[in-house]
Amino acid sequence: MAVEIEMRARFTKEAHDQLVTRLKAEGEDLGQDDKHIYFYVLPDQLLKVTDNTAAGTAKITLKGSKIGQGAAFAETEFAIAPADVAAAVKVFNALGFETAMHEAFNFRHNFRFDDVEIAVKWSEAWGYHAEFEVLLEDGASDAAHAEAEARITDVATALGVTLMTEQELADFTAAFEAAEKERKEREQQAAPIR
Amino acid sequence: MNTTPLTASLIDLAARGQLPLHQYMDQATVAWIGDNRPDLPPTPAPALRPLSKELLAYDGLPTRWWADPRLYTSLHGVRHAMRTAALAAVLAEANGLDDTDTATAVLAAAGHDCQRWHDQDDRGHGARAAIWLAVNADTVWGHFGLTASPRQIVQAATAIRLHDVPYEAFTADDQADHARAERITDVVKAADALDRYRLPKLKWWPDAQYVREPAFDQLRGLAFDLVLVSERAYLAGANGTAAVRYALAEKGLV
Repeated sequence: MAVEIEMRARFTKEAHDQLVTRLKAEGEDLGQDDKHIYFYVLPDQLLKVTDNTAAGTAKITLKGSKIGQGAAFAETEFAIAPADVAAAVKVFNALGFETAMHEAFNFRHNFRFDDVEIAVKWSEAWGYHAEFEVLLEDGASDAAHAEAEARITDVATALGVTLMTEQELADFTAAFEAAEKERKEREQQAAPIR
Repeated sequence: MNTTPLTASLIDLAARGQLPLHQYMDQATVAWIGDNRPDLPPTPAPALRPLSKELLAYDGLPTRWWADPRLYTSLHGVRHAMRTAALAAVLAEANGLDDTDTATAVLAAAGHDCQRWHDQDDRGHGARAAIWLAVNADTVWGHFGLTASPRQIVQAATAIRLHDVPYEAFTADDQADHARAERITDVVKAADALDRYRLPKLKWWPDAQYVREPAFDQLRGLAFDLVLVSERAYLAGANGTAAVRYALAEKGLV
């Protein structure tokens, strides 16, 4: 099981444009990587079915912790055929996870800058944002974790991006989940159309 | 029997006069729209008031509002409704409408085509949608977290009823109704016309002679970009709501 060290930032459209310009000039452009993601927010884990629409691939991922519970995410992942995405979602929903499911399309462009992979994204819930990631081998030492976090922080600083703290991430995701719950309740209570 | 291949693009079908009842965007048509961008000056990002931003960010428009669910993703579906609502919000700012009238114009624009039966020349769809809105006003205003007043319902229903009636074809009754909701009706008609850049023939694109809106020409660049960005996003895999919200974000509207 690989371990991802992930840190995130949200920013304005102007900051997004400046970041992309800088990464195109000074980083390695890894291309467009749009994704349609079905994610299941479980008590201490995150399960995702991802349709990589730009790449023409798909996968199922189980992350060992939720956003806002630390930067290290133990991750188990396997590829599925894009044609099987709907069936995978149906299976997880039938297993009782439907109420925990959210769906989002991510417009995403990947870059590499100083050995850190940076996914610059837009989604309805997060707006313009970026994910900074370093992948570590399973069983990497605490020192390697700390070094990866430090590298990401240095890269973000060099790019003029302010990373979100774990508390900010936890607050943001909690607010999103509450808003989604409220939206679903509103939808159920909506008066019928005549 | 219709022998038109299902894979034909809207531009090909329009050129042959064979557009089907239900018309769905395709890659060739979006590429054609991009290739035919008129020489338009860039529109500076208009500053929307907080109320307009809230309305545009509210829950997506429900499929059940549409008379025929097949139209939800078609040329007169949710993407057109959301872009028209956004353009109505921009025009409301340009015309100095107050919060109440802005909300009325945005809601009328969002619902103006929802009672269409098809994507062709569907005569009377404005009148049907006006009745629908009057009957379902509490649900529609409630969807946006608002409460409808009788005056707002009448004005929105009037704008919707008249949106598919050319000014020159107004009857005496139409003119009397228009006089009671003039600014909102003019905004909705202009917003609807600005979104015609999605249509698969150049002669169907926005034409100022059919509207009464001084800011019409200034907003052509914005309208064109909203169509192109959101239709590309939709064909990339985003749902209609996300595709338009992305375009609104790209143009600095939300």
